[in-house]
Amino acid sequence: MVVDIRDLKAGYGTKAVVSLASLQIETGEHTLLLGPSGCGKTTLLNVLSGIASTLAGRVVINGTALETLSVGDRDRFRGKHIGLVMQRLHLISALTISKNLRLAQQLAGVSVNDGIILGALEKLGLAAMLDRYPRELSQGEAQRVAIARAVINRPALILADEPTSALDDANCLAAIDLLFDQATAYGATLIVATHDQRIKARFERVVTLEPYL
Amino acid sequence: MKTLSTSLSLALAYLREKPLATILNILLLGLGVGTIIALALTLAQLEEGMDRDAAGIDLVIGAKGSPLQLILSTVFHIDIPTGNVPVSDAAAVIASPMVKQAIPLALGDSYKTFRIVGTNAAYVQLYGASVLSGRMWNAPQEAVIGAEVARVTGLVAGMTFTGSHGLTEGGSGHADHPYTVVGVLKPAGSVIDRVILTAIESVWQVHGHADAANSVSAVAEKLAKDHDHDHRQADKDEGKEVTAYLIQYATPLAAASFPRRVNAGSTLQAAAPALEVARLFNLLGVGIAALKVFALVMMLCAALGIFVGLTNALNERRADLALLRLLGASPAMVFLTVLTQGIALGVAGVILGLLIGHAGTEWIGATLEKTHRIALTGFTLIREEFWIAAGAFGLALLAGVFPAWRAYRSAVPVLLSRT
Ligand SMILES: Nc1ncnc2c1ncn2[C@@H]1O[C@H](COP(=O)(O)OP(=O)(O)OP(=O)(O)O)[C@@H](O)[C@H]1O
Ligand SMILES: [Mg+2]
Repeated sequence: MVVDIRDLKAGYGTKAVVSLASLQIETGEHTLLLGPSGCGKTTLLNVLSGIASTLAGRVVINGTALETLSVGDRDRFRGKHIGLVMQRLHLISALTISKNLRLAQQLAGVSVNDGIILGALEKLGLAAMLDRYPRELSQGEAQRVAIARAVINRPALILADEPTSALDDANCLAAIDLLFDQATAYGATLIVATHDQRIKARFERVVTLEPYL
Repeated sequence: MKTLSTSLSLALAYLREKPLATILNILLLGLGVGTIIALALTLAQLEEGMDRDAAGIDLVIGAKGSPLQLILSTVFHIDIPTGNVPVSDAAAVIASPMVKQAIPLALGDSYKTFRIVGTNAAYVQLYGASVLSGRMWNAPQEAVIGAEVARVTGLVAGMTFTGSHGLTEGGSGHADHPYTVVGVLKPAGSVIDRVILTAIESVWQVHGHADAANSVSAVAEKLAKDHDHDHRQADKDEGKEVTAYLIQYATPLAAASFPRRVNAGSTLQAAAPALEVARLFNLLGVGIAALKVFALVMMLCAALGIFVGLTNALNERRADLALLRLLGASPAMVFLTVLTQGIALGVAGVILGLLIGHAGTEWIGATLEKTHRIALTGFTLIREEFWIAAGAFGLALLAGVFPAWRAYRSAVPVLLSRT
């Protein structure tokens, strides 16, 4: 089991915005997190990645209970075990593509390995972009780089927050295909949060989050 | 260690991404540091040089006028003299038992901007100088030249030259009275390096005083020894003039009354180098303080520029900050990354400042060298520089700490929600 949530209450300050009695996700599952805007999808992903802390309940990722980790340990844990893809791509504009990917390795505490970086980019048809800066890439290319970055450390869990909301239909499907391919290729579990109904059919499992009252 | 190098390479990438702001901040800091360092270097060398040049001279007696001008012209050979005084007028004064030694100086001519100083051997001893090649002069029209004079003019023992009237270039010549170089002095690191020395009788001869052989320098030496004032000698001195006497007191107590007594007379003026140098630095003080304030303002502007730049970058790079945290960076590492940018700017600014300060001083020195008045070099280090560099670096560091702290405190969800 990759994700095990019980009796979770999470939010900001002392105000809870999500509550979840129980959620278990098995290794290799592709889960869609659906729900209206403001229902707490992003908040839940933040809890899973250890960015936001819980108000109550237990969150266990890959066998590690997050509440037992210090802030620094949680940062390191996230770097090592969780791959993140954001709605907007968030490559660091001051660094070239290869340096963006190296940074992900450095921050995860694994040794820099240009072979892995090149391999990941080659799979996505981006090998020629190694020394370019993010501004020299198209939107779609940059998104593929972000996906490559999410998988290079072989995370147990890939969390994607609205990865498709800015994309047209064709690109939307291409991005989801890619996420699935990569998750499968690297043996990762995938959770995608969205209110984009276009991609619903692709997931074997859909979790709908109810607004917290 | 890994964290440090990751922070450093990221910080440098961020600085490179905004080259204009980066260069501007480094330049501003460099100019501020450079100005202060050049000032400190110049002042330190000026003070040290003046102290050395005035060492052993308690008092200068010369013609009435500005006391500062008297000192500048006769001790440092910078300004033009206040005038000449008749030897007979001064004879009684320097005969005082309070005077241990009175070295006569006769100025007026120069060669290629180097002053020809008519004096006696005591002047050479005063500066602890000795002959490197050749010998001391022992007859009129023989000259011994300072090391700097030899280097610049190429004169060596055995060569002849004619002085020109006046202390700047282009005065009328004295072609009928050529000098012969008989010796070159060892470099002494003082004003004696930059003058041409000759017997005082030479100067009188060049300027048409007959009977030069019976010298005032001989009188002065004799007086210095036994204070035996000979009236017939004074008659022989009739018509001869000196520019000044460099006086060494027999007792420190002389300082209390002797100058006042000289100044009370109608023709002579006494001025103490120590007092006049102090007065000069007081006069310069206002200008120096203004320059220092100006340089400090530049440094503060640089620090402010760094602060504003980093703070702005923080807002622009919220997404990056969030991303760094999402990729596994700790808050401490984010802090380091921002602070390292301030540190890098500080280090670069200080290095540039050291270069500007030393190159600037060397340049000022090279410019001044053409006038052969003040020796100034950029190839020296003083202790103040360490404090200036440390202060500038501290400012840059301080300018980086606040943005770094803000980055450290930023919660990732908040950063994400605003991107
Ligand atoms: N930093 C924050 N501080 C306080 N409340 C917040 C913060 N971020 C989000 N919230 C609130 O928490 C609730 C859930 O927000 P969240 O971003 O998780 O929703 P979401 O389901 O991701 O919405 P969307 O689909 O629009 O992205 C909302 O009511 C929101 O106003
Ligand atoms: Mg959201």
